[in-house]
Amino acid sequence: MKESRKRMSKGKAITVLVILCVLIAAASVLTFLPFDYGEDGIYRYKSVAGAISLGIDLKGGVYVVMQPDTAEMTDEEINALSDSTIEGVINIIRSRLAGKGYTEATVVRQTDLSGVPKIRVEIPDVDNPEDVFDIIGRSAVLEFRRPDGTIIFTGSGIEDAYLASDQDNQPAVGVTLKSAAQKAFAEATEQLVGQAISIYLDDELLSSPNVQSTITDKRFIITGSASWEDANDTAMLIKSGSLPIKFAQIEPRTLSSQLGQDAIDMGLIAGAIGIGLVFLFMGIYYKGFGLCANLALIVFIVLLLFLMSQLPWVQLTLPGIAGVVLSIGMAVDANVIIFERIRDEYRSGKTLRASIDTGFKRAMAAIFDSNLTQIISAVVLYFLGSGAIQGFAITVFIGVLVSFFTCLIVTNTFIRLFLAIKESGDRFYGIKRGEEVYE
Amino acid sequence: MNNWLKNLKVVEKHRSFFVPSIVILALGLVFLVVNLLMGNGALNLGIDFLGGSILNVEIGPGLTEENKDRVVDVALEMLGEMEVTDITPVQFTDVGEMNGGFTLRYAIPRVVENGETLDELTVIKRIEDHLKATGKENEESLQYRVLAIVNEGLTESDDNYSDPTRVRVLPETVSSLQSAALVWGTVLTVVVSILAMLIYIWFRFEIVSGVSAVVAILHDVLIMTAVMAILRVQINSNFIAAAITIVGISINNTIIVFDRVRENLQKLSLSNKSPTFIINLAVRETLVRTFNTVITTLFTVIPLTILGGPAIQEFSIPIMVGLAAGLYSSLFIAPTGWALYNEWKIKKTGSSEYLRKNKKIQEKPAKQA
Repeated sequence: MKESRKRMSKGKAITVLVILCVLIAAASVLTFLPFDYGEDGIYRYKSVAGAISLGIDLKGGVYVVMQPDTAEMTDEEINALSDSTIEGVINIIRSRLAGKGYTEATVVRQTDLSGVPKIRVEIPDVDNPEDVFDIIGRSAVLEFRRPDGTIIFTGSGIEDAYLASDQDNQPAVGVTLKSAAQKAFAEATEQLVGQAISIYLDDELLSSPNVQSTITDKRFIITGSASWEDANDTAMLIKSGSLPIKFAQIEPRTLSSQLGQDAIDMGLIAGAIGIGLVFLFMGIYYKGFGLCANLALIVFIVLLLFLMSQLPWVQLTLPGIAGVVLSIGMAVDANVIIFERIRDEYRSGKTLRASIDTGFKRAMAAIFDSNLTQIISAVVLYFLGSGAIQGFAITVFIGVLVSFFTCLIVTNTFIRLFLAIKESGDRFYGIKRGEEVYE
Repeated sequence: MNNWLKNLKVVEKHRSFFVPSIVILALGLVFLVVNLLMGNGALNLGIDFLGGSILNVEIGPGLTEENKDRVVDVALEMLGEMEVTDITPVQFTDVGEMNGGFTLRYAIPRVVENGETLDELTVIKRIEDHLKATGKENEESLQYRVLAIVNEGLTESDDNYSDPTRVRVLPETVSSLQSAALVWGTVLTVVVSILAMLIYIWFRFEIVSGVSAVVAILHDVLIMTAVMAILRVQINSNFIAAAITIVGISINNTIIVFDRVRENLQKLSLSNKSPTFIINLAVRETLVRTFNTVITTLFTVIPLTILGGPAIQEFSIPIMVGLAAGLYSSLFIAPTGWALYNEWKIKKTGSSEYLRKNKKIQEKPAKQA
């Protein structure tokens, strides 16, 4: 057994341990305790756990499944509904919803056995469902027309549209064209100086600006918006343009939360009790090692909640809670496996330090295989599963990665620190010598 | 404990260890068939699987706990008047406190009228028509009647007293076609994920370990389903979440045991021992770990079950059943299966998959540590 690691002095180990414990305590406070700050407490810190966005099953909202209208399509055309087309539609819907302030909406492709790709839209916290259906459902054909009604180019010619301002600092809509449309637009503006070009969305007049000069550049602005808000809305509609396919069946559902606020609060209390029991068990059964595991578990929970609150595509759903239970189980399990291995090694007569080294090494194969299996399963479930299953898969994926990191690095670090402070001690580490039980 | 540990022989005693599983599975099957024949449906499926209509009654602040039961009854009575409760009983859930008030949830899975099943859109249409026809101001309307009960706990001077928006009635539908597609899609997804895990285990261990692990998964999920069938616990989409959680826990337990097997086989002193010996040893060595892990997982699930409310219980109760099944199968089913197969194979052909794999590993030039 190699002893490459330089041993830390006792004093230094105590200092590092204290600093780490203070950091963990601070991180836990930031994770769990919301508080008010600023003059007279005008700002509210929501805490990391409080910032996790809740899925539609916990919060209620609107749920729509959109299916492409395949009635008039041939099989070839259906097969040609490529991923990029569906992706394009998803992006359009996303930007439409974001433009209306529904930033927590989930818009994803849904696979099922029929083979026709569908799009599922979930929007938590909606006051006016009709309004939302209107935005997403609109197939919206965007056209730029001459005064005589002929089309110059359609929505597919638009690269980008954004809120801009003119030279007088008045609201305007900025537009960037793709090169194909740029040429057609240059020709049209050359002929139409002084006349109006009309922008239609689903045959509804959106704006009818006058051409002031020939525009050969691919960028231009449309002035004369009534307000900044108005300009922003117009920009959003121009940008999100037209959906390349029509949707036949749009099945809107309003969902109320499956879990009342008191149930969520009770769930949190239950979680705290559960974790407390785990801490107690680990401390009593594995003594000093259990203490290391508990510190590592706190780091695990803080990191897991932090990632769940920060990653934009993570929402906590009921299946997600099941995923959290599984990943906490995996995190505890990793520690249990390591400690049982260390106990085995020590029992067979090795020194404590050697037992820890060998125990870690032996445990790693098992932990690596079981974690990687979970990751494989989570990836499959994420890419093939529907919304609820994806919620489970994401929490398991994040949870298992974080758990692997914490057992490998954090538990290990704390054990080394403990060891530097207390070189041996059967009672403190809950270990004992003995003949091998198993042979 | 130690003596018992030393003598634990899972493989030799496999007949007695298989009995409990077989009894539960057989009992579950009997319940499934009997219920199916009696027309109750094999499993007590909830609205997520059957499709149907849901009526949510959201009540703002002011309702006292004593009056809540009466509100529940009024809404039920109303559903009766709307003739949408003929066959299946309404499944009532008290969602609990929301924004200082309560939400009551009435699920109406299937309505049969004159021998024909009404689809969920017809049912919801009726509810909506009824709500429109009676209107908020009408004394017959659901909103009005619920509001009257809520106001009993208040005086007219209360801020909330005359606010009719405190009672909202929100109908929802769950499409049965869509739920069927969702369920089968999910089952297919889980099957694919299990196959992916099987391939990984095949690659890292050998095929017999992989198949044993899959058998253990099937055992756990089937036991879960059997217990749900026996107790007639209602199954909703959260059951699927519970099932895939158990798949994860089950595969984890099995891998830990087979990891010991793999490691022990590489020890020279053990490499010529019989599969039965190898398995008994590995199970004994991992027994404490398996117990401790199951206990700690139970520590997180039990408080959730007690305090979490009906929606969380829909997955936490099946998870507890699955945990017990998983503990059992990872100790007594998967390892035993592996040992019995290999004993049989060696007896018949003189060799087996794991022996060949082991030989390959041993023939490789040893790496310098």
